[in-house]
Amino acid sequence: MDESFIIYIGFYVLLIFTDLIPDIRKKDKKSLWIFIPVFIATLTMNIMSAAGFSFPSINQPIIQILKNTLHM
Amino acid sequence: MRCILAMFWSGSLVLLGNYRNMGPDSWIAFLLAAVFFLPLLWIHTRLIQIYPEKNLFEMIYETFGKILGAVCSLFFIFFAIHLSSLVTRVFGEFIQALSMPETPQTLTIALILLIAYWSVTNGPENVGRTSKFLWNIIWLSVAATFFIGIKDMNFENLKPVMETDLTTLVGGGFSICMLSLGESILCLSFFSAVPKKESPKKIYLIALIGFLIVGLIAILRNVLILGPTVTSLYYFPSYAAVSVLTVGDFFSRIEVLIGIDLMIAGLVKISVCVYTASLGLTKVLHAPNQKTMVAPCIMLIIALAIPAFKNTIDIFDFFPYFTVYSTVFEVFLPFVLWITAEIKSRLKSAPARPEPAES
Repeated sequence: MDESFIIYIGFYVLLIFTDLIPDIRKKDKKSLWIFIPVFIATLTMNIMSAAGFSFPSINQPIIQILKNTLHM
Repeated sequence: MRCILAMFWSGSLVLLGNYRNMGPDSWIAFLLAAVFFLPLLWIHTRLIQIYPEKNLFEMIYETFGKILGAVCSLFFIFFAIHLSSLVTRVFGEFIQALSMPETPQTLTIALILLIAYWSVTNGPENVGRTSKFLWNIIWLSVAATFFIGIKDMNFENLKPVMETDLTTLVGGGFSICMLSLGESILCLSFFSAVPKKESPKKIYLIALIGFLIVGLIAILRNVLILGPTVTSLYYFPSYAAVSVLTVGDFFSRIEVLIGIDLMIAGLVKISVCVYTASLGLTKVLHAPNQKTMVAPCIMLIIALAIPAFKNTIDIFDFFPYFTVYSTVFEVFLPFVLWITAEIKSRLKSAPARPEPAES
């Protein structure tokens, strides 16, 4: 783990203060239903990548589909 | 709106300088891209005329209904998020490779996205006003670097003209169209703020002419200063071309100006994509407010941006695939949307058949 971990934590803490807390105060359940799962999933992904875990790029399936269908 | 379009297209200028196989004819491919864009421009403006004062997702829902509209909207939301993650990563790579190699890319990407988040949560008017101000910086700095570079230019670098074969030129023009101009389908989300009396064709054409002039000056500057062979060696030739410029003995290292230009254009492009994605999510998920959807979009973008590419070579290797993949979102879906909208509007405006008279 290196400076990326600190950067991600700082980034997400900022989003908590600017978005999550106001949504909780407003009791905006619909927004919270979307925010919290995305928050947890992306924070987990980013922390794992900061720890050295390599996630596949979303471009890879696109390249594979194009190679298989259009023989690019 | 004109400035939003011009800035959005300029967001791809950092990538457009690399014409590996077009040599001195890269400016011709750029002009060809504008020609290829004209049918798409017609489709975009026709959609705005059929659905005045409506954004992209309202147009989609009015045309396709609830279920199909949601499906089509999800395609555009995915494209907006994917495109902004690619652009974010490219700019992170650009800054690390050329300006700040010691700075972690994660920090650059996080800061870019925080600025985009702040910009979009302040409303689309903020994006428009920012674009209007920043567009002046872009065209002034491109013009300034062109005039400063005249003494370093070799006009022989443009010869021989049309040496590149037509297939390569047409392919290059199509790539440039898909990489920059065609992506403006996402800008339709801003047209709900444009009054009905404004001509969308005029808006698009003025923006296109402005972008063409700036882009052409940038490409010609690069080729004339560096030469076609050297230009093709660099991944970011604009930066390299301007780095050789000096004004007397006291004013050098002007390339930071190009870095700033490309960054602000990229920021506007990312802001437009984030706004479009958040607007789409608001419509599909029936969220109360578009601003509450901005943070989830930003989080998705940062999660996709980091693993998007391994290095700079990967970025440019992905180009041919992106050109084909983006055709679905930039040509096919808008075409289907337009055809269906046109048929629906004609059926709506067709006069009712008179009742047959009783004998």
